Amino acid sequence: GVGLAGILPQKPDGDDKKEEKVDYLNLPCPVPYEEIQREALMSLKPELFEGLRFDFTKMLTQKFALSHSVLMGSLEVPSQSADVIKVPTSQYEFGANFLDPKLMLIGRLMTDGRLNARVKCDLTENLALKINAQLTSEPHYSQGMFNFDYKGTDYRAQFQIGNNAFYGANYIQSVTPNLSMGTEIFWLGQQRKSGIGFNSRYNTDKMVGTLQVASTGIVALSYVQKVSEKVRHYYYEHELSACYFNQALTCKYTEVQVSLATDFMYNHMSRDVTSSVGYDYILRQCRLRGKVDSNGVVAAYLEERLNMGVNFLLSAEIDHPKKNYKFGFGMTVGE
Amino acid sequence: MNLLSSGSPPIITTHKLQYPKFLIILLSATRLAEAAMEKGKAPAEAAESAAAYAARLAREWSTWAMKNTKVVAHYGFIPLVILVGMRSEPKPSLAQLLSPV
Repeated sequence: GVGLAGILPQKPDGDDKKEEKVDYLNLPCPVPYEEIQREALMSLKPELFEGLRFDFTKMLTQKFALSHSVLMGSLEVPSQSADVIKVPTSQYEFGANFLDPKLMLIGRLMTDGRLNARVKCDLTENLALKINAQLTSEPHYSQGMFNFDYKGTDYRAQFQIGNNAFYGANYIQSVTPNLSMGTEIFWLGQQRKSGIGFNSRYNTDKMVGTLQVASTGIVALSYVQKVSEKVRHYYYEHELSACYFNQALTCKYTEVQVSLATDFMYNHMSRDVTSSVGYDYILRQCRLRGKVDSNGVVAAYLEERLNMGVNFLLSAEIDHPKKNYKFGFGMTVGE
Repeated sequence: MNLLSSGSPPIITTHKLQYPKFLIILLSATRLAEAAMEKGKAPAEAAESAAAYAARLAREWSTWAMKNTKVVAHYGFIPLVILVGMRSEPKPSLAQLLSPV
């Protein structure tokens, strides 16, 4: 070839996927029921915060780590009028994590005595126990949930017991290699409420679409499209050799992953409709997420990797109708 | 001490009988509580059958157990995580745990 075309590597052939015969007895295991919308949630709902945030994680061994987290910002106080009332608050949170393939223990303790505990234990190869609890010093404000998860070859089943006599069960099954459908029921003892819901998830390599319908009157849809490209970066590499003017044109491939996500939620009881559109750029040194809402909320979240283990965070959320502006910055040190 | 042992030296008593001492105190407390409950409800015992009485006792003791489990979990979860972490391989030292670096 001529010029650059001669030295550049050939573009790979477009993927020619052979039409494979679907083996319906050998379908993949579906994602857990509560995680069917995880791609959309990761892209559209980052952990926005207001104020200063500093996290320090100290790894003592590969599996055991201690973390210290400081947040100085404003807390919104619910008010009767349309005004937004913010109260300045500061908190320190101490955390201890033990992460093992078979046992996971995560505990977070705040200065006001609130403990956030998560336990995940593999009882057998297919059965796992998950405990999620928020314990407070004030009586009657604590919450806890026990989940028993069973993972089959192409299905998952889960049974939940929570405080206030909450019982729930859900089941999700792979129907085709790309489609999985599930159902759930729950019963709330204290308020004598029960509900049933259905959801389904369709995913390929490039996109994920989910639908959720519940008898509490909620309909939720989401769609995530993954656009991944190998972007070529050209830069000159200087050789510090005898011949200083020796410059080599180097071509390096960086993978840029872009996800475009959209989300729609309709609540029949309160006649509330919300729709949001967002993007998620995963670059080599940073991750940038932004979204626009139908409620007039614009949000963005940037995580920039400054150095090995040091991340710089910027968070912004602008609520135009309520005139609520939240800006935050922070640093995360440690893995 | 006097009602627990007679004749054995005091030092051996404190060490050997520590665990049974706790059990004896717990059992006597249970007996006292039951006696108090019986006194209070002796007139109404005719109205309550044995099964209902057992169910009520079970409910009260399970509430007591839940309340104390919550307190134990609240105070003991983080120490439990630290204990499990310190015993995992490679065992870190106490200096590593407490130092800020």
